[in-house]
Amino acid sequence: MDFNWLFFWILAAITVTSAVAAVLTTHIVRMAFYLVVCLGAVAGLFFLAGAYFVGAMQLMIYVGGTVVLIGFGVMLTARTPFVRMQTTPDQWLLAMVTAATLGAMLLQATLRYPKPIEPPGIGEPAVSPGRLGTAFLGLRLEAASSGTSSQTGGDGEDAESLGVAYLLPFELVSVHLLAVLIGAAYLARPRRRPDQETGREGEHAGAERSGPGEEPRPAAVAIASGGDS
Amino acid sequence: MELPLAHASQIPLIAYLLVGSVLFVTGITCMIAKRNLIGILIGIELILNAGTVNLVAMSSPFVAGSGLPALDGQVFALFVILLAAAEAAAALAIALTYYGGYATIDVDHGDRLNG
Amino acid sequence: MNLLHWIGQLEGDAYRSLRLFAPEGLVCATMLLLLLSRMLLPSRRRLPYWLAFVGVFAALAAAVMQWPFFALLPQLPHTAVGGFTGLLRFDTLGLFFRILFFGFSAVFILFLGMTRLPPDEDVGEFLVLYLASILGLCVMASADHLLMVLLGMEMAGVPSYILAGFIKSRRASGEAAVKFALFGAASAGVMLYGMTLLAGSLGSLHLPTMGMRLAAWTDPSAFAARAPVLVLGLLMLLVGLAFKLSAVPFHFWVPDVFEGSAAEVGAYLSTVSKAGALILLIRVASGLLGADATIPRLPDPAQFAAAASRFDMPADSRPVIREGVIQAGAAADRNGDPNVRPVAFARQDSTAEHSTAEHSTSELGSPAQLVSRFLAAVIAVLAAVSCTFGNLAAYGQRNFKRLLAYSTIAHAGYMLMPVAAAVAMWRTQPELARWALAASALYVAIYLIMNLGAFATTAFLRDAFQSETIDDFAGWIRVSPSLTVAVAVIMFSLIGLPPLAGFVAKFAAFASLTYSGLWALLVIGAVNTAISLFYYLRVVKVMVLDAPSEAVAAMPPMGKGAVTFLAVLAASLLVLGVLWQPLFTWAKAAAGAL
Repeated sequence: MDFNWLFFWILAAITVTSAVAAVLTTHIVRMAFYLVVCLGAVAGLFFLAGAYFVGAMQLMIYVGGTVVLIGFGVMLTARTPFVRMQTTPDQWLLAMVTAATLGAMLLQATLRYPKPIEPPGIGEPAVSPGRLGTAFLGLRLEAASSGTSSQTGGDGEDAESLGVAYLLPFELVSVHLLAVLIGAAYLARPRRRPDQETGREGEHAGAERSGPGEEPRPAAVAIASGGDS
Repeated sequence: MELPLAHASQIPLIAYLLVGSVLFVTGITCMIAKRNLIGILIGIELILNAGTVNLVAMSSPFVAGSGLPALDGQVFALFVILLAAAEAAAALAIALTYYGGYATIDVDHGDRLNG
Repeated sequence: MNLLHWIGQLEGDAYRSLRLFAPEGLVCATMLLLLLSRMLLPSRRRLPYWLAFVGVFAALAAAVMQWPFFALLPQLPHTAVGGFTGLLRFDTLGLFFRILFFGFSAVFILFLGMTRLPPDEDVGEFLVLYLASILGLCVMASADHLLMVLLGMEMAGVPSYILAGFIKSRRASGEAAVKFALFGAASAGVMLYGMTLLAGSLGSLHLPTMGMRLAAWTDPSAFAARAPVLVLGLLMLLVGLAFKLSAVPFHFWVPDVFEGSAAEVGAYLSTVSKAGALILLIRVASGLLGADATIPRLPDPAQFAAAASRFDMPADSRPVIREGVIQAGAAADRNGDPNVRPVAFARQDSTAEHSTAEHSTSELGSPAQLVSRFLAAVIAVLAAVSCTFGNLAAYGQRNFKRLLAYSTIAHAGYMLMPVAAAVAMWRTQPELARWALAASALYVAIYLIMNLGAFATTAFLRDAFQSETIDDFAGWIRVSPSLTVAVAVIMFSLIGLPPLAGFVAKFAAFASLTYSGLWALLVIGAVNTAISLFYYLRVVKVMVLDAPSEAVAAMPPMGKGAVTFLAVLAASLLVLGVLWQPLFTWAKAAAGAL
């Protein structure tokens, strides 16, 4: 019994069917659920491929974070209990044509995917979180022992291989997350300042809306937003 | 860290790449076919997941034909997951702002800017 | 053992790289100070502007002070320093663009202080998002690894999506931000997929290593087997870059985002954001094409020793060849001595070996040549289509910001032309390719000034008159003649009329096309410059010749600050149009690093 293949087929089947189901359904909540299943199956594929930490992070961040966020988005923006999206036939046609074209191109490239130039180290132990951690601290441990890149040195010098360590992106991404957090918090908070001319509150984000098609009067908008037309 | 599964046959890289390409095409279709902001966002998540599947498979020691060093592919996949989460948060905040102006998340109603 | 390793690594590579990364570190510190000031001193309304300006100016000073470190090394031509174990590449071209970004930011913060947007209590957040985006652009300018390419694009992109939707009370703003964010995220996803295909088939995520592997394929049949994956990967990577560059057919976000968002955000998006994408394209192209499969010649030991001391390398370091580039390593110590970390990368201009490499078995040329021709063709097509479409679609636009949006698309086309020329000449005539890159850098520098002026005009007129329609600007010459003259100068420069700086930029771009022999592109560019004459002139005509409406005639004169700002920009365009030599010499010195 070849467990590798068995698990791969199961997980791949779950991934593909839930992704296709997410496209075909019209229910927005079901779409979010199918996404959860798909991402979970992808995490399973990661575990199968030996990327244990990445799989765990996929479950934590994607399934446990992003999809919850999408769920909140659905809840905050749905005006009826079950929002249904109707896709018109011509949009489906465009989507199918694009999918077919892209699919053909990708399939062609994938099936003719070449053998790699040098297999880097089949059979070496899978990457442990310890090695990931030291890479994030700026130290690449296995670089000292084996040379993974080809040498074109002509005079017999055997330099160390290029050990890329990931200290910088680790720090930079935290700055990026801070900025995105500040920006998202700014966008999501309601405007506190009341409209000076009429005294009523300025437009809020949220469910208390006066009506979908109402265009605010230009003068009120001009004064309330400080001269922006 | 040898696992019992390591003695089983290795899965060829093409299998993982096919899964990745199916996810990619599905994501693009979802983006085009859905007229709902959340639907488009889900399509984007599928596309980004296709990239991570590719990366992890190409750097996996349990996959036949992988070409990248294991650590590099996995670190890249981790960063993609992080960046995708940040982008989803920003996109949802923007969707809330859009909702505040239009009271709907149907992108076809956003026609004040024509073109 | 590992702890000692780590400390040694930090002492060596990380410390050195952090010193070179200092300008970006100052930007991060400024962001933190802005957030703290917002929390601790919320009542000081102008403090964020001052903090941001001082921080950006300090970053600019730090970057300018680094210039002599790179430029005064005649012994080792084409020198770059690898940063953070090969993730970044610090060289003169990246430094040129970083100086441009910081300089632009300083002027931009002054400009922000003069306009009525952003509202005072939100300035801190606006500036934090802006600085985060600038940080991403600086990462893009120094990227040498596909992870940094993606990280830079995302760091620059996501805050700008939020900035596009910053004015929450404007309905169009939210729509603009939605279109921008969804388009941007999709293009980032497509770019990521293309990067995985490229990296997998070339076996590495480090751009110079990828280029080396590409150049090492001399067997045409092996290359033919790999070509579909490479082509698809490259095209998908270019999708992401073309989105940021607003090149057709990935330009759909531009008119709506520019019209919907504030003019200040438009000023930022149309200038430095595009410049960052351009330098990133150059980085990717140079990484994939730049390595040489032949063995480079080792430099003279005495020269190397002299240069080694400048790079803080140990005294006994000697040149070591690794992956086609010369690096410094201590003699024969392979047991992980941390002092051995390589520092300087230098490539010999081995033109003699070029000819042997190019005579490969296939008459089409070596694989690297094929890739460079393919890439040049794609970029040329993008450039041609962008400038044609942008110029044609700009006619009939009533809204000034939409007109400027289409003008931005057209200028993206002009900006791409020298890059196409450079990529075409990369393997065959490296010196001229560097000249073309210098022309492209010059174009970017001049374009930053021009477009900032154009969008500043929009912002000031909006503040005064609450309108962005061109016909509402009729007769402004009677209200504020100096402002109208400044606007006219900026418009003429955008067309490319002599003796203004815009003409110099276009001339350099077209000259690089003649060197590379891309005649079709030259003709298209010239025709488009002629086509673009009329819609810019229409703006000037409306402001000068048309009779003003009563509302305009009754307007008080414009504020002095606005007029001075535009006058300074216009004057600099005039000065640069005549005295362009120093800037171009600087650009050529910058491009020499590749």
